[in-house]
Amino acid sequence: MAAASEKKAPWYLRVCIHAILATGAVFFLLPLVWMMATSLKPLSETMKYPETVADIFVGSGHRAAIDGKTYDVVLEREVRPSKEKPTWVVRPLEPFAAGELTHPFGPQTWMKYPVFNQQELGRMNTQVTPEMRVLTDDSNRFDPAAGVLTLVSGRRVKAEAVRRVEPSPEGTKLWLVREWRPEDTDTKEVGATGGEVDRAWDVLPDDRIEKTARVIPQNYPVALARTHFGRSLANTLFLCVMTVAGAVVSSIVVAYGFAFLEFRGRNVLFGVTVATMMIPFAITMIPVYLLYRDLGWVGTFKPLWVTSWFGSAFFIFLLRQFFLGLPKDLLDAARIDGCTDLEILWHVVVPLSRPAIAMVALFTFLGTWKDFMGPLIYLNHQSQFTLSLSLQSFASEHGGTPWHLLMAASTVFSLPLIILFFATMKTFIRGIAMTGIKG
Amino acid sequence: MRPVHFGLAALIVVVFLIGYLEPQVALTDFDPKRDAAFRDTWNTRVHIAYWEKWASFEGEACQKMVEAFNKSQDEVFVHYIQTSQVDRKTVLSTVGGAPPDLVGVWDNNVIPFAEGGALAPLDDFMRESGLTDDHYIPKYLELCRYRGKTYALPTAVMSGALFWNKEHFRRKAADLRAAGLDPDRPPRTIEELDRYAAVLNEFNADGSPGIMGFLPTEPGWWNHAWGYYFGGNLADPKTGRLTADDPANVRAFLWAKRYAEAYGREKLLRFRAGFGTFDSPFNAFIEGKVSMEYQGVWFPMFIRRHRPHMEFGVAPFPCAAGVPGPRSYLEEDVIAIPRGAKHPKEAWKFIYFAQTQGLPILGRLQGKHLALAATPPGFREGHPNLELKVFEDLAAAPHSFIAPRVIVWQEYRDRVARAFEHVWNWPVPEGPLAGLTGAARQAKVDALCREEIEETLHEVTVTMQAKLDRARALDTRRAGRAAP
Amino acid sequence: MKDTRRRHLAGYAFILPWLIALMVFIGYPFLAGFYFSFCDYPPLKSPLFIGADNYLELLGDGIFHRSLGVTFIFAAVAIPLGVLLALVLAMFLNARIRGQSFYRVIYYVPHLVPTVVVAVLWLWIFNPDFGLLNIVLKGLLGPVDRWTSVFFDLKAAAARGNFLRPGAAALLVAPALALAAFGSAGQALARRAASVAGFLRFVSVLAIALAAVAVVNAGLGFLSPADMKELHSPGWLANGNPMPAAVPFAPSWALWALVVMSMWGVGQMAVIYLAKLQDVPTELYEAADIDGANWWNKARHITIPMISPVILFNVVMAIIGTFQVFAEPYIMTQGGPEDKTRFVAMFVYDQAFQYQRVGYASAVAWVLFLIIVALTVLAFKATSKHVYYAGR
Repeated sequence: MAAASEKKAPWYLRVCIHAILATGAVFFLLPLVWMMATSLKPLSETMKYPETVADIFVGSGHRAAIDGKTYDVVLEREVRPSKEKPTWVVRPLEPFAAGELTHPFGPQTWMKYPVFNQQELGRMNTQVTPEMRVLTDDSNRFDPAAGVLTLVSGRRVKAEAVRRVEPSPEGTKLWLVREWRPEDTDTKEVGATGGEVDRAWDVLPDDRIEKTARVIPQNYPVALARTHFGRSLANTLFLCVMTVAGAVVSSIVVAYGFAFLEFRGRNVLFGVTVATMMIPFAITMIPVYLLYRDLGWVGTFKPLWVTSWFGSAFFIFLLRQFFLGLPKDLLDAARIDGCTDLEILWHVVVPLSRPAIAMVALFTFLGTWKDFMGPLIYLNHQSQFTLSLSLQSFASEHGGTPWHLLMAASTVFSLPLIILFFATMKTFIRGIAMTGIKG
Repeated sequence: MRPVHFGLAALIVVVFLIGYLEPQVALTDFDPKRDAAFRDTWNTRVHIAYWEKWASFEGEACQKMVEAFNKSQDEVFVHYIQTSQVDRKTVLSTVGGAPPDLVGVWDNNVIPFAEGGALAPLDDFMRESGLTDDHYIPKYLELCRYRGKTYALPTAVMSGALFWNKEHFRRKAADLRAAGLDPDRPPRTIEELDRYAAVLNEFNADGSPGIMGFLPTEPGWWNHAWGYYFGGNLADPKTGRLTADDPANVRAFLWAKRYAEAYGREKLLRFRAGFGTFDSPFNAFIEGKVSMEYQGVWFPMFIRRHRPHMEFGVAPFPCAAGVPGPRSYLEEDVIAIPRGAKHPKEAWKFIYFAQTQGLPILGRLQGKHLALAATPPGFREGHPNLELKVFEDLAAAPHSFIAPRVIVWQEYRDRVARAFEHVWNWPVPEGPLAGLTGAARQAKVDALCREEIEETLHEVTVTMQAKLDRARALDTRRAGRAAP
Repeated sequence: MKDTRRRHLAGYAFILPWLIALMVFIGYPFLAGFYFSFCDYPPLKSPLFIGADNYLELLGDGIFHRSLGVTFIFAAVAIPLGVLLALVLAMFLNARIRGQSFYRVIYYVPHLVPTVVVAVLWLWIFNPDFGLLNIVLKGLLGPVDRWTSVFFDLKAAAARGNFLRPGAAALLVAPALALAAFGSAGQALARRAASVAGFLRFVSVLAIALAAVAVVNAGLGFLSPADMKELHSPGWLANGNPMPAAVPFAPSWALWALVVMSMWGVGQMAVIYLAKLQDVPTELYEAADIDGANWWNKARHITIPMISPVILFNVVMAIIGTFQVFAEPYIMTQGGPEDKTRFVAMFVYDQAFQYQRVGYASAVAWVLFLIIVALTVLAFKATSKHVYYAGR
């Protein structure tokens, strides 16, 4: 484990190092891999304890043939034939509202009953027609002799038997399977029942259901819509562009001043600059907030990008160190030629400092993209939210967290940075090296 | 000018322009897709934003009230905007100088916001519109007042009661009768509640709880208020001193601690971890995991959403023996006009509409009773909350109580609630209990916990009393007048 | 003369933006914050001077003490752990093996993930029922008896009188090997045949590691309470209970969870070390090799002193950063079970924006600042003898 020496470490040590690094890499990457895996699963899979290792990464689903067509299905529940009575699959001969299968009152009541929101009312009002089948249970009872199905709501409709599931104490497992469509991914509750009668369904034994992998890219559009991705992205990009431009321009100008121009108090001021890096955000947060309030900037984006146009201690420090390392003769030559300082800056210094400037731009972009506390304090209107804030407010919604959607949104939120990193890797590494140069 | 200088100057000008134009770009709360009607009225009406906390069917109920107002006149158009953490956002936006015109917050926000100057007083508006005090049930109006001024008005009200699962009671009828209890009625005192709960508990084969008769931590929103049911108070109404360490409060905490310890804290923790969210069929009470629960007036609506044929009963929550009752904790949601709002007069028009015609709409659709002294005709008939009467009676009951009207209430309430959690989770040392069983063990547990409870509550009282005294002293200095 | 004057003016012109920032955005708020800390200031009214009352109140505020405690404990654990882990990682990443840059990228990527995503992702990982952590733990430690008995089964030993299982052998062999490799006999061997000695040392280290694992496994099998065996935790983030053995003053699992989460981001520090490690002149190592130093000596006497400035830099940065942790606890635990993850920065935010006490919040912020300054000065002073600045 020696540091970089000329000779390579012996083979056994190298294998050991590989092993350790590989194990560590697995642990470091596993959360991200799992994030992407969860983002492609349906909600029900995320709420299920995985039985095999494969289950952890790929959601599983089922396929079965219903009435001759193969569907993706979900196992709604196990049909345990009661020990005394048979369970029936019946075909209703007259239509009725789906909600009557679950509610002890009919549509006249639930239409007026205000506890249901529009979506739920829609589901309960869907009609059950003779093309569909109804599975009887303790609440909806079927009388085969009279051909009458008594619903929970009390209504009696004519129905004919389609299949009879015998009472058997130790029969094979029977499942109620229901057609599953990708749109179902957006339901907040696991196993949403209650009136999904426009899906094909059947009662099938285990051996007629096959297990498959289920990957749901539909999670992504749904998640992006729910976090108002387009708008948030636009807001975030606007801020990134403004802050990067500001940081670059101001840091270059100020660093040039500290590096090449002499004026009284220069070193003292530079020392103060370095010292300000130690001031915690919490100290200035509130007075700055009140300052912005007096300026009338709260509720706009200005507090988030205006300060970057005035320079940042960290980048000024770094750029100044970098400038000091540039060859002096070029600058002297330009000065002799009669260039003003700004021109020297633009025509001589900047082209030589591309890597350092790229680093300033990159780190500013990274910082603004990731920023959470700033937008939290200064942005009030949802239409202004940046990606960070949209994601956080989505995560803190009530009513159960849709993890699959959350992970999809998180993946999309992080991916640009990772791609950016890969594209500009050399600059990154060099930039980090520079931060470590002067301890 | 040399090109470089020109370039830099141009850049600065562009940046200034962006900075100036930026807020003008249509950054509003209003969602054109949802409020399609508003496009026609954009120029003819004053548009104001109403930040409110309700989502789901409660939110839709409020939206119906807003729609009714928008239809009833053509000067103002109110936009309902569902906002999470609406109280914090109100502070931020008011301090920041750009608040909405209407906010719906909670009653415990009134005093701090009013004290901090975040709300505009409504008394002049009320006088002009002819809205008098006797329009309201007194306690609900008191929650909106501070120092003789009204800073908000009620929208939806709350009272709480005991919900009991009739199906469980019926199933355990024989056991209840054997214990000398009546399975056809709920408990009438807290001691009875404990006895009912003990019989109603059911355990699985491995000793873990299957059904708990009662859990004081469900739903856990009013853990600070249990002392009131033991005759205690969190503040002395006469002297204004904070009394979290009142002996009745200590008794309440001891009572709750018994529930924590009786069946093993770890087992209870796992049991409680399996509860679902409030608005789901996996709610502890709705699913039947807890037989009795203290909940609010909205609860029957939620029960009927998820388990429409559940048989449950509602009765006033029992008090300890010797404590006058029935009583209930009264809270409410309020609506206010933030200071610095751009259209206060138009905002008041909506509030006035709400207080006269809007509240009955809201009450019916949310399944709650009203803060109004006189119930408008037609409100009770067909009201979806079949248990409304119990709550209405409780709201009018003389012993029902509201939170102490002190400026440090929010922090005080949070600290008492945390003290409750701390006591609930506090591990009772095993050493002194070694070898004790039954009543002796119970007595020893009580003795050990009592000290911890008293210390915890005393610390809360002392700290908060100090803060309160300081706040009052500062008040006096600021305004040269006596604080409440 | 005029030229110098002009030069001076040009200088000030160039740093003008920064001067404005210093005065308006840093200096004024800094001093204003100091003034506010001596006032009572609800943000919609004017500040009222009350002397040191806020600071006196801080002295008695239990929740403030607790948030200081939480922050300190977190710092005391996360900073050394992070710095050490990053250092070890950097040394590994510095080894000349195939795929070196590949590994460096992998270990840096977690740092690129936005804070909100990190918080949300780990919130999901720590989910007690379906989170990755519990799944992995249950898979590894689930059939606990089987796992511990792979190495060392004392119960079986008592029953059958035979406890020598594969891993247990390491317990016997490890000390012998270590002695051989590092003792004087080993040194004598080294002078004769370098590669054999190296190999011997490597094997002995492996044996010691295995032995340690065996002991830990045996311990887990015997000493852990039922909870750890099952590891079906009620919730890493919701569990306010003290640790299973009810250690007094112990922070909750939630705090440890946050520490684990912060370890995930050590890639940043590791890469900084890496950069500095490249700077260490190789002649030093070659000289050490000639003198017969082994890797531990080289690390201790060459590597660490040469990169000590960066270690100090990282420690100081970590101190400043840790005391400002806000986003993760805000999103994951909102202050945590019973305030056990209420960091000081969150306390400031709450006091200012929820309870509307800007004066009090400023006092807290100033105490925070003084603590950071004190710790930084302490860090500098304590290590001044050990930090070696090449070229000074």
